[in-house]
Amino acid sequence: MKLINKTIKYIGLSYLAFGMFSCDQGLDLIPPGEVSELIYWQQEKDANLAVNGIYTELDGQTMVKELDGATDIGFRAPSGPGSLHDVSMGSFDPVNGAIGSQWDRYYRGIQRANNVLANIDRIEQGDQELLARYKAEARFLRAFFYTQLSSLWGDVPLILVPLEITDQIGRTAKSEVVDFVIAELDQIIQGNQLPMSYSQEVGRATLGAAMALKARVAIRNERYTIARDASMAVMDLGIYELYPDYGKLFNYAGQNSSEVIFDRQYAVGGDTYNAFSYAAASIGGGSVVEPVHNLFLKYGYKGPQNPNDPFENIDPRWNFTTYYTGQPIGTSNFNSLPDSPTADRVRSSEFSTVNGYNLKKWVDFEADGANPNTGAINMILIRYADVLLMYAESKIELNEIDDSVYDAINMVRERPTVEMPPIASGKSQEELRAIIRDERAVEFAFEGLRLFDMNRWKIGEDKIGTVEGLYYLNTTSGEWETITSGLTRTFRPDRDYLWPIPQAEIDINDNITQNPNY
Amino acid sequence: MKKRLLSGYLSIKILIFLMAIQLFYPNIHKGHAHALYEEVPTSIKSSERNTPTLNLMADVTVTGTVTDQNGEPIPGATISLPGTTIGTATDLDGKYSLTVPETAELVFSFIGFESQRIKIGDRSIINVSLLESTSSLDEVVVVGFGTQKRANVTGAVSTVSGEDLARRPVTNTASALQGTTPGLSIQNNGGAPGAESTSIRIRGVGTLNNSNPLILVDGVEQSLSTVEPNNIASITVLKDAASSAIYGSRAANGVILVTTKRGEDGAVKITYNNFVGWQNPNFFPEPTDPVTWMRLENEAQANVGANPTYSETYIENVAAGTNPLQYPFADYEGGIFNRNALQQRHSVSLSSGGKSGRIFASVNYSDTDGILQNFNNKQVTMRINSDMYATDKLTIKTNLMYRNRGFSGPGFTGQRITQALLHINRNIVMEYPDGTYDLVSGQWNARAMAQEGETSNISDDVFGQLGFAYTINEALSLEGNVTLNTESTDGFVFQNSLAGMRNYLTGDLVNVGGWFATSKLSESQMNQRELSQRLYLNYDQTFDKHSIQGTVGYEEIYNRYKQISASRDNFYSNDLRDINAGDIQNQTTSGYSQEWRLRSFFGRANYSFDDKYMFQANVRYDGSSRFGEGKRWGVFPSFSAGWRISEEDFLKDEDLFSNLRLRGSWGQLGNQRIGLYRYLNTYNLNNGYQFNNNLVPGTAITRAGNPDITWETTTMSNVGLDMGFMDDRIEVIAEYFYKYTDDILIELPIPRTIGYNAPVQNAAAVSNKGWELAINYHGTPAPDNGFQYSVGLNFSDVVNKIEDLKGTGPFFPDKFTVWTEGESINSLRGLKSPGIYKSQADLDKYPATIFPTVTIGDVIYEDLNGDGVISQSLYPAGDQYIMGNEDPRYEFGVRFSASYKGFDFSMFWQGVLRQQHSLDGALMEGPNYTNFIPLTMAREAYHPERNPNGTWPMVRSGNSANLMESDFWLQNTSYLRLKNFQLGYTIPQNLVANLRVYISGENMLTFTETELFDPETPRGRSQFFPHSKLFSGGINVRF
Repeated sequence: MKLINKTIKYIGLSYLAFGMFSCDQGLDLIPPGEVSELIYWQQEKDANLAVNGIYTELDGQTMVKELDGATDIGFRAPSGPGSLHDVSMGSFDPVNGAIGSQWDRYYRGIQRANNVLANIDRIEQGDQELLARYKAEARFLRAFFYTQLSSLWGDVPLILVPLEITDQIGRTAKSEVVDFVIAELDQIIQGNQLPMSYSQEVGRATLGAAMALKARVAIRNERYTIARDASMAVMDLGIYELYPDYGKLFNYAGQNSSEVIFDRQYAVGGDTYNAFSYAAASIGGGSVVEPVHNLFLKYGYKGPQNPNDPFENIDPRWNFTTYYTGQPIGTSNFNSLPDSPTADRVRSSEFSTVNGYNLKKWVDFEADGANPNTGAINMILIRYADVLLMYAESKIELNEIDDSVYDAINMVRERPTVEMPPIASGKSQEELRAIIRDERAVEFAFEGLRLFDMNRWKIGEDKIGTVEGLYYLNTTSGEWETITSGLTRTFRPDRDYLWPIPQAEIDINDNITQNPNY
Repeated sequence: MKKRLLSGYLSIKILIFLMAIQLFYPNIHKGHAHALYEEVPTSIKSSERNTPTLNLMADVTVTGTVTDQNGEPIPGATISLPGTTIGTATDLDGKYSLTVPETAELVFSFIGFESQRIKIGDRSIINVSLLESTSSLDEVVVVGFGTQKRANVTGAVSTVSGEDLARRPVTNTASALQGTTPGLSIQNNGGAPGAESTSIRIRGVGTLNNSNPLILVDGVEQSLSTVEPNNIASITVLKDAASSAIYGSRAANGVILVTTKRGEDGAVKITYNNFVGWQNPNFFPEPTDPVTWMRLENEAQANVGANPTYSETYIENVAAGTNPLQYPFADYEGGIFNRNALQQRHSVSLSSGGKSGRIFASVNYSDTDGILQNFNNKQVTMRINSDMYATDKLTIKTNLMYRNRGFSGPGFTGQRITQALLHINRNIVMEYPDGTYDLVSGQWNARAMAQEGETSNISDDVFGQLGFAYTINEALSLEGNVTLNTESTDGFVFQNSLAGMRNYLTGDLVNVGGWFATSKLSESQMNQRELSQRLYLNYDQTFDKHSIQGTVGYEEIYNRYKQISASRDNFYSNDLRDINAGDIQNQTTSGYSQEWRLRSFFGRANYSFDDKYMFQANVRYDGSSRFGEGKRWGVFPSFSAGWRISEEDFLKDEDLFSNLRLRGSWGQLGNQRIGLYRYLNTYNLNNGYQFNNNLVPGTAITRAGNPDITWETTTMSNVGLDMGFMDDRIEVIAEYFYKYTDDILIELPIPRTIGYNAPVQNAAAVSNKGWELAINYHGTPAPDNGFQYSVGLNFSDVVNKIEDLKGTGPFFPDKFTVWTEGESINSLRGLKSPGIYKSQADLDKYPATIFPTVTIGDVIYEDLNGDGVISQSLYPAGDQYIMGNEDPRYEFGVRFSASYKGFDFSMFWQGVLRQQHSLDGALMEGPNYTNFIPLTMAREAYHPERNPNGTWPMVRSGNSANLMESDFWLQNTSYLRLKNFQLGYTIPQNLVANLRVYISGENMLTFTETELFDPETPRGRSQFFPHSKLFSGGINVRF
C-alpha cells in the first residue's frame, strides 16, 4: 500500500514538474490570420497576392474627383482644417493632412512594389512567365507612383529596395526620378513584359498602359519627343478607341471599355465608396467638390450662342459634367438658386454647394440611386482621349503641326455624343496651344488631371480671386450673374507649384529638405 | 489545438494530484484549513484549543457570549489569559467556555475590534460586547496571494471597504472608487449605459503604452466596471513595486485587487438593497437661443461677403413660434435627450456558514435608461462563493459567477447622434406629426438617428473558479485554483431604410441617400476565453519574537479571443431583422482571432522581529508569448522594510504617537502591454483588390515587426510614514515615490517613405515622482448611537517626465500632443496666441499670419522663431510651443460622514486643482460650418461694432485659420465636485434585523471655470455619450 502511494506520489510530482518547467512550450504563438515572412515567397501564389496588394494603393476618388477642387475649374467644400479645401484656397502648410496622406499612400505602394521585386526571385517553383509578368506589373505600378510623386512634390526620395526602419533617405532630383520612370517603362515596353490585354483579370497593367504612362510622365516634364512617340505607340497598337457615349463613359456602362487604358477598379463586395458623397444634396450627396464658373467659361458652343440662354448649344460635355439649375436630377429637377425649394439650394446646409454647381460626372443615378453606399464605378486613371490630346500637344509644342494634330483633337471633339465642330486647320502654334489647353480642361474636368496640367503650364495664378459658381438670370436685375459665397483664393507662384513635404516626414527624416517657401 | 487542451487538462490533473496529497498524510496535526480563508491572520490561529489547560490554582469555568455593538455574535473571537498559553475561541454562535484560575483577568480580542480586559472575579458567565476598533492597524489587508495585517505591510497599499462601495448608488464600481484613494486617479469619460468609459491610473502615466492598472477580481484579471459593487468585500490598491512585484510583468501600472464576499459563519442572513434614481445630462454645453443662433449664422456669411442664410421673416417666425413646419428650428437637445432617465438597481444576497462550510450567494439586477433616448442597459449578475470543509485540513472553494448584460439602443451610437447634434444645421423639421423626418442633406437628422433602427449587445459572461486550500502542517499550507473566465458578446446593429423622408425645404418626399437609403444589418460575435491556474505554497511560523512567512508559486494564463462578423443590406423590410432577410449582393464577412500566454513563477519572504522591524522580498519570473525567443523571460524583484518606531522603548511612553512607522521599498516591475505578435514581420492577408468585378485576395506587410523587443521595466522606490494620534483616531499616511520606466515600447515614428506603419521599439524612458497624503479622523465611538462623525482627506500629486527618447524626437503622436525629452508624456503643443486682432495696430505688431486672408477679428498667432511665417512645427523649426499638458495635478478627495440616532449623513467631494483641456471641433467652429453654437460663443464672438470686447474670433463661414491648435483654445478644467451625498435613516422596528432608507445624489454640484463641457470630458471633438448626474432613493434591509 505504502509502495503504491509512493509510486503515485512520484508520478504525480513528475507530472507537476513537467507541466511547470517545460518553460517555452506554448509561448510560441503565431498570429492565426497572418502569414509569417519566414514562410512567404515559396509559391507562385505568394507573388500573385503581393502584387494584388500593390494595386490597392492606386489613386482613388480623392485624386480623381476631389483634386480638381484645388484648381481653377473646381472648388472643394470647407471642412475641418487640413483638407483639400485649404489647398483649394491656397491656405495650406506642411501639416495639411490631405497632402500628407497622399504622400504616405504613394510610399506605401512603392514599399509593396519594392518588396515584391526584392523577393520574387526566391520563388523557385512556378510559371516563370507569369512570375516575370508579376515583376513587370510591380515595376509599372512603382513607375506610376513615382510619376505622381515627382509631379506633385518635385524632388522626392527615389527608393527602389525595401528599407530598414532606421533608413532616412534624402531627395533625388526630379529629372533623375523622371529618367528612372522612363527607363523602367522602356524596359517593360521593349521587352514586351506586359500583355496587351487580359481576358479575365481586366484592370491589370498592360503594355498600352506602360506606353501611355510614359507619354504622361514625359509630357509633364516637357520631354515632348518622348511624349509624342509614346502616345503614337499607343495609337499604333490599334486596340483603343473612344467610347461613343461621353456621359456613360463615367458610369458603369463605360467601365473596362476600349477607351480605358488604366484605372483603379472597384467592385461590390470589395472596395466601394459612397457614390454620391461628391454629388448633389438632393440625391443624398455631400457636394464635396463643385465645378465653378471658370470651368463653364471654357466650354465652346456647337451652334449659335443665345444671349438669353448661355446654356443653349453649349458643348454637351458641360451637360455631362455639371448639374446646373433646370437640369433633371434623380426624379426631379436640379435647382440651387437661393430661393430653391430643394435640398440643392446653395449654402442651405453642410451638404449643399457653396456656389451652386454640382458635379454630375461619375454619378450613375439609375444604378446607385437605390443604394449609394456601395458605389463601385472604376476611377479612370488613363484613357485614350488623353493619349490623343497628349499626342497633339507634344506635336504642337515641337511645332510639328500637321493634319495628325487636327485629327487627334477633332476625334475627341467629334465623339458621337459630343459632336463639337472640328477645329479648322491653319492655326498658329500659339492658337493651337490655347485650343488644346481648353480642350483638355473641358474633356478631363474632374478626372484628376487639371492640377498637373496647370502646374506644367505654370498657370496656377488663374485660380486667384473670388470663387464664382452658378450662372443664372437674376430676375430682379434682369442680368446674368454668378452665385458666389465671396470666398477668395490665393496662389503663391514661388511656392504653390509644389506641395510641401509633409511635416511628419521632415520631423523624422534628417536627410530630407522642404520645398521652397514652406 | 491539442496543446491548448493539454494545458487545461494538465491543470485538472495537477489539482486532482494535489487533492490526493491529503490522502497520503492523513495524520498530521489538526489545523484549520478554512481559517486561511477567513480574514484572520494566520499568526493568531487558535490551535490552542487543543492545548491542555494548566492547573496552577483553583480553577473556575467561565462561559459566555461575545457579541459586537449590535448584539451580533462574533465567532472566532479569542479569549486568553495573559502570560500563559491558556485560551480559546468562540464558536459559531459567539459562545465560549474556558477553565481558568479564578483570580485571572481575561483578554477578549478579535480582529477589527478593540480588545477588552475583564477580571473574572466570582463570575462564571461573562458576556462581552466588543467595540469596533477605529485603528486600521488591526485591519487585515488582502495582498498578492494572501493577506497581511495592516501593521505588517511595508509597501504602499491602500484599501477601500466593500461597505463604502456598496453605499454609493452607482452601477459602475470604477466610478465609486473615484477620489477614495490617494494616488488612484479615475476619470469618467462618459458613455452609454453599461458602456461607461473610465480611465484608471495609479500614480500617473508610467508608460507611453497602455497605462491601465492590473485589475484582479479574486486573483483573475477582469474589468472593474463589471464587478457588482454589492458583491465586493474589499478592494486593495497596490501602488508601489514592493507590494505589486509578485504580479511581475503585469504590475507596472499598479494593481487593484478586488475580493468578492464570502459566506459568514452563523445563521442565514439575507440582505436586500435597492435604489431608484433619475439621471439628467450634466454639463452638456448650453446652446444659444434660436434667434441669436440664426443671426450669428447670417453674420458668419456676411463676414465673408455672402448672402444671409436666414431671412428676417424666417427669424421672426421662429422667434414667434408660428408655423414651425414652415419655419422650423430644430431643438435637437429636446429631440434626443431623455430627461429624468430612470435607473434602478436591486440586489439580494444571502450568507450562511456552519460546520461543513459556508456560502455567499447573490443576485443583482440593474436597469439603466440612457440620457439619450432609446438607450438602455440591463444587467443581471448571479454569484455563488462557497467554501466546503472537506476535512479539517482541506477546504474546497468554488466561485461561480454568471453575468448577463443587455445593451440596447437605436441604430446609431450615442457618439454619432451627439455628432449630428453638434454639426447639423437646425432649419429642419426633426420629425413631422405623421412620423416622417426631414432628410438633412442625406443622413444626419439627429432625431431620426436616435429613433430609428436597433442596436443590441448581449453578453454572457461566466466565471468559474475551483480552488482548494490544504493545511499540510502548522507552518505549511498549499493553495491553488483553476479558473475559467469567458466573455461572449452578440452584437447586432440594424439601420432602418427610411423611404418616407422629406425635403427639408419643401416638405416633399425625396430620394433618400446616405445611411437611410438602405437598411443594413451588421452582426458580430466576440468570444474571449481565459483559462488560468495558480498554485502556491505558504509558510508561516513564529519563533519567539521572530516571525517568518514565505510563499512560492506558479501561475499560468492562456487567453484566446475570437471575433466574427457579417453584414447584409437592403432588407425585405425594416421589421425583418434576421440576416437571412437581407440581400446577399453586398454581404460581407470578416473575422479575427488571437491568443496569448503568460507563464510565471513567484515567491515572497517576510520576516519581522518583535513587531518592530519588518522585511519583505518578492520575486517574479515571467515568460510571455508577446516576445520572440530569447527575449521573453524577465525577472522582477522587490525589497521593502518597515520600522515601527512607536514600539521602541524611547517612544513607548510618549503620549503623542499611538503609532509611528517608517516604511521604505524598492522594486522592479514589467510591462508587456503592446499588441500581439509585434516581434514578427507578417504578411497581412487583408489587402485584396478586384479585377473586372471579381474579387482577388492580396497581401502586404503593413507594419514592420521588431524581433528585438522585450519587457518594459519599471523601477520604483517608495518611502512611507504612518502616524497615529489619539489612540489612532487620527491617522496620517504619507508616501513619496519615484518611478522610472525604461525600455518603453513605443512606436517611434519612422519616415513615411519607408512605407510601413512604425514597429514598436524599446526606446524610451519616463519618470513619475509624486507624493500622497491621507488624513483620517474618527470621532469617538458612541455606543449609545449619539453623535459620531469621521472625516477623511486625501491628496496627491504626480509629476510626469519623459527622461529619454534615445536622442530622437520630438514625436507627435497626434495633432495635439508631443513627446519630447524633459516634458510630460501628455504635453500639449500649439501656437502661442496673445488674443485676437482688434486693430490695425495689432496687425502691424503681428504681421506674420498663418494664411494671407487673416485679418481683424481673427486669432493672432505669434511668430516665435521670427521667420516671418507661422508654421506648425515645434519651435525653433516652427512656431508651436509646449503650451501645457493634460496631467491632472493635485487631485483630492474629501469624505465626511456622521450619524446621530437613526440618521446618517455622508458627503464626498472630489476634485483636481490643475488640469487643462485643448478644445477641438464643433464647439469652436460654430456658425463657420453651420455647427452647434454654444452660449459662450454667442456671447464672446468678436464683432467690431456689435461686440468689440468679444474674446472669441469673429465668425466667418468656412474659416479654418482660427481653428489651429493653440493656447487660445486651452481650457482650464480644474474642478471641485460633490460626487455624492447621502442622507439615510434607520427605522426603529422589530420586523427585520435592520431597515434603512436613504436619498442620494451623484455629481449634483460642480465648480469649474469652463462652461463648455464637463471637466472630465476627454480631449477631442466633444462627440461622445454625454455625462450624467443622478438623484436617487433606496432602501437597505437585512433579515
